Amino acid sequence: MVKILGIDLGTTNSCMAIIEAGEPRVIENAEGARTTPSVVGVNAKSGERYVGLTAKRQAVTNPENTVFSVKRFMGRRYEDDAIQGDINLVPFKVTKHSNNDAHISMASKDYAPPQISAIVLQKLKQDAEAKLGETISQAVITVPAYFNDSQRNATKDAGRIAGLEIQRIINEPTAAALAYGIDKKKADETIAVFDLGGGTFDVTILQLGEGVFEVKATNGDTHLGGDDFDQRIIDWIADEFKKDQGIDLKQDNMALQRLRESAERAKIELSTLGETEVNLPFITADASGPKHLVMTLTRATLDQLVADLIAKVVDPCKKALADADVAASEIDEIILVGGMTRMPAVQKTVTELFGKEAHQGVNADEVVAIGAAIQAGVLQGEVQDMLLLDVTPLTLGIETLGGVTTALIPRNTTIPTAKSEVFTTAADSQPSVEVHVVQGERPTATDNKSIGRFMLDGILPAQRGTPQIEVTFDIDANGILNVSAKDKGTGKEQRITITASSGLSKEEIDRMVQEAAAHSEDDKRKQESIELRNNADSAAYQAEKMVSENSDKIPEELKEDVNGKIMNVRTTLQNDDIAQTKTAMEELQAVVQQVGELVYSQEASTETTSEPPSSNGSSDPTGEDGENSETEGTVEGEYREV
Amino acid sequence: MTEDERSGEDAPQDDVSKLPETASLEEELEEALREKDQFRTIAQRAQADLANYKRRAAEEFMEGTISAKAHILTKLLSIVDDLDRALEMVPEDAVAPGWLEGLKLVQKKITHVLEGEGVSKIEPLGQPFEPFECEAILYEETPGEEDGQVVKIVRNGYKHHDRVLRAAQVIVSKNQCEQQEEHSQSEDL
Repeated sequence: MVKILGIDLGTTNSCMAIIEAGEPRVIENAEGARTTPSVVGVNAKSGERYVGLTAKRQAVTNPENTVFSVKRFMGRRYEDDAIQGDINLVPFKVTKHSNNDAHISMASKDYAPPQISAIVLQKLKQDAEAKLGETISQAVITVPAYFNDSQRNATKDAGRIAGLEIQRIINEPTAAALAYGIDKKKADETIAVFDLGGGTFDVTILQLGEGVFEVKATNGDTHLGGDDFDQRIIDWIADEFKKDQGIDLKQDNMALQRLRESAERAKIELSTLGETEVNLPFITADASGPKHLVMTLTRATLDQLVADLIAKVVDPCKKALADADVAASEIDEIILVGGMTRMPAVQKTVTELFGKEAHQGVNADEVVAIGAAIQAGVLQGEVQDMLLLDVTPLTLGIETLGGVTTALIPRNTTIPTAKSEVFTTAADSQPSVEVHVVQGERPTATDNKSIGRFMLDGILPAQRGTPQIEVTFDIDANGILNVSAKDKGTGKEQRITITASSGLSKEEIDRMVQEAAAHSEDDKRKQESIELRNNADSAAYQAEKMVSENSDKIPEELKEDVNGKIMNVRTTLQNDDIAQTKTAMEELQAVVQQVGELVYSQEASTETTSEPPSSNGSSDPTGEDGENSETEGTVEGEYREV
Repeated sequence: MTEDERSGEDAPQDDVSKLPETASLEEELEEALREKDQFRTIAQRAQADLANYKRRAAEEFMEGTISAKAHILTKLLSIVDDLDRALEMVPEDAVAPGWLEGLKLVQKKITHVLEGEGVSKIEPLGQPFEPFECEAILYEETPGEEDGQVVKIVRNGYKHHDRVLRAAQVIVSKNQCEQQEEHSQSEDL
């Protein structure tokens, strides 16, 4: 199947994603980063070409041949006001081509903006191919909603030059809405997409009708983004330091570099923390010695520093609403895009503007690429599987000692599937085990739904914990559950087939899952108490066994002490007093340890192989059958009916 | 109607009734064969998907382990930087020699731990600048140096096995004369 790459070709950074097994996934570039700087550089001497991070790293040594923000020049006339404004802001040379388009000169060679974008696209394509191990020849690329025909065509050309067949050009806000699955809603909605990225701000009002998005209005600020925010923090830190130490860090390039990185880090940290420390030891030095920079930046201070920048988003939003002819209250959904929308002050402004909370995913920098991938998935018509794979709606397991549910197949496991585990007996010479199959999320078996039970008998007399009973759950594609229990010693087997293993309606399933969540605390306590009881019981049993096996080596006095402690544990167990059981068990364990040390010291010289006292949890015997060891994997082969 | 007549009538009737039956059986067979092929394709695809998924999952697990490690190592590097700076700036007479020696041992220990984790320092000094391992933060006139050489490391760069953990921040030499020379040469050409 041909894979179509979804690409967010951004002004500052680009990002790519693909649909895999029905889910969108961002693809990392060759350097292992999820976004790639949209920067291209050419070494004038060697002619070597750099793209992305490497281009950015060499920009200082090669400013006139390093092109960034080429998106601003796509499909534009040289005489356009926007171009004339940008020409003064960039270090590379912008020229007027014979067709009046703005072109860019790199290493004395003339490039049309799509050619430069194509270099970025080519890198993305190559990196995706390396990652996925297959050729990528098709893509969906996003563009800002305000892009006109010639800008869209220029973007298409860029794709073509990079060897990509552009299946569709979609608007960035539409892609973001797709990423949030808003198109799947039945109702027609009005959506505001608020995109504050590294260098640009866009706000778009979309109208969703019958699954189609229509751009009602768009507005923004082409020169407002995260970099401006960083600069405010740098200025503040440098000013404070100057006031304090009398040294201007901005004059020191190396210090400024460290400052820049710390400022960005502080900004990111303040999205989740109330305050952060900027800690730059040995930032500079003067005659008196080294100087350190240690400052606390609070979120409140940051908000003050950037208040005017945040205020700049208000007007475009109001204009977009007015152009779309909708009131803020008529907006049904708000989507946040771009790293800067993680800033709480930005989110607060948006909430105030539109009167409701906005949607925000984990990765605001990736939503556009993810939306492009979703569109690509629609176009490639994700193969319709003839085999509809189902999942088990609830956990399936068996009841073990103390009424605990031991899960074999967790909920949401794709079927057909099989799983087996080995259990053991809970009492000495136990002749049979009962396999009680339960369905549900609660740790206590009685709280779950019982869906079947059967006995496996004929177990040869043995000490508890010795017999190995393999219990296998096997669900076929139709959801029919086969449970078998096999005594590995005798080969005896018993089985049960449970048809329509669920038998539960969707409502029932939802209720059971909810109940499990609601009772999780209670259940945890209950389970802990059962575990404690099991452990105490086992400890008493082991201690008894140890004393009887080493009777000749233990002084009477100690023996009596152990027996007394065993009695104590059993009494507390009978009285169902958890706290006392715990204390009694701990006391028993302490004295058992003494016995163990004594026995070992006596045995040390002869090196006997008698069984050491095993720890309490190791046998974990169960009422009908207990968990002893686990064998992962499916059980294959023929079962003999008994 | 005589027996013969009946059998005579029956015979062609049989033929007629057999034909559609055979035809429908053939159709069923065809359908079954088609379905068999279809299911085989699905099974093959599912198997291939699983094999690919397993391979990718294994790769991703490795990748995840490496990047989780790299993430923590990168954070540690900023402390290593601070220690490096502290030791660069220390005036030899300002502290007791034993104390300084101890601090240097701490630095050595950290370097040793990092090396043990597969971290190696990038050594670009005196080499021509290349942006795969270095980030130029200054392009400075440096008399007597060729253009485009790394003349100073501002912050050490490190590699984690083959991957650049953090590029070295460097100062690159600028040689105006050389550049002009080249420029005039290219113009001459």
